[in-house]
Amino acid sequence: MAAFEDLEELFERLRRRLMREAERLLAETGLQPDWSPDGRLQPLYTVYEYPDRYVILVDMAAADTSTLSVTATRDRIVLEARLQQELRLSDIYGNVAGREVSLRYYHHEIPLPEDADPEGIRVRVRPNKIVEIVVPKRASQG
Amino acid sequence: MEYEEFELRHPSFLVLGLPDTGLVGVISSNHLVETLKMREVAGIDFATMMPPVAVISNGDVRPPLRIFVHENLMALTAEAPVPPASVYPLAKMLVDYAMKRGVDYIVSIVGVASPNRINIEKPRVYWIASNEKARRLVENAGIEGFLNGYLVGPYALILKNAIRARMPNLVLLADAYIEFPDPEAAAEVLALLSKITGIEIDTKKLLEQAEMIRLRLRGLMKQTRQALAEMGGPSPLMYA
Repeated sequence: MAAFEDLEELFERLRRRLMREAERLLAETGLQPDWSPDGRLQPLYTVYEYPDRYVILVDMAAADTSTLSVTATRDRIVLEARLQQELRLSDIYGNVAGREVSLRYYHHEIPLPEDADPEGIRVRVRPNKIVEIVVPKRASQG
Repeated sequence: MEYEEFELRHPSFLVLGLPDTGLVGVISSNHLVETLKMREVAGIDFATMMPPVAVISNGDVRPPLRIFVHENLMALTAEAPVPPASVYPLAKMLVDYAMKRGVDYIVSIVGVASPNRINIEKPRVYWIASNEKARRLVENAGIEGFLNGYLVGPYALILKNAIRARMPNLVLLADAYIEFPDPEAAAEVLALLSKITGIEIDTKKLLEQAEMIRLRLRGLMKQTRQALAEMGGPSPLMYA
């Protein structure tokens, strides 16, 4: 029994990883919308690499940055913040479509490179709601 | 194609708002159109070379590139990035059109990818001029020239075509976030544009709506990033 459960768990982990990878690829091709009907909005972000650190900038326009949470795990950063107010998709684009979709929060998972050291992250929020996350690199590498 | 007759006063300026770094041009021309209540008079569509996009504006079907007029100012707005294959014909066409219409200056609005943008409170604006006449426009504006670097994409070709055609083309470049729409950079360019053209441009509303503009333009920003990357060159990040 135990062996089966282990296998099942392994498959489940693999399945989740595949799904994540597929989602990432879809997002990169721009085929996937950057919002979802459950109210989630995916922010734009950029990663810069410096010799000793990574700097991630995230555009959190219209977010209530006092609710921002940034959690780092070994291989990813999870970002979340509520919007200042609920926004309908139709309000953003000034269109008739999307009236039913209300956006309430930003949520995104940013994969971290192998040599990133999530323990030392620093987060800074600029008044214009651009969030800067600095992730040091592990010193032992190289 | 032009769909309405119009008279252009002189000295006339054609402001180009093509998708580029930080969408500074797009945001600037959209704001001009809105705040000056400019009249839509013409549009550009290449049947086989533009993305298959029809723009619906207040129920009317419009081409992806549109031209608006107000007194001596024309503004070009874009709803989709220019695909790499269309860059050459578009650049030629725009310069030819400006000549035909008797435009005195083409003003290109561009973002300079600035990795340090997050630490800059007030984005700076730089200039590149195609000739002496264009240079005289900014001589006394108190801004620095853009001395060394690259310009990649449609604006680079427009500049080169303008030089060949002896058409004054002034390129205004603002420090901008590389991959985020940057209304603050657009506001700085518009303030300068107001100074050199003498046209009053209120940017208060632009800054008030900055966050909504950033939200709205996320999709276009992503597509633009991709289009610029495909255009290759030294990489879209290497402006400075």
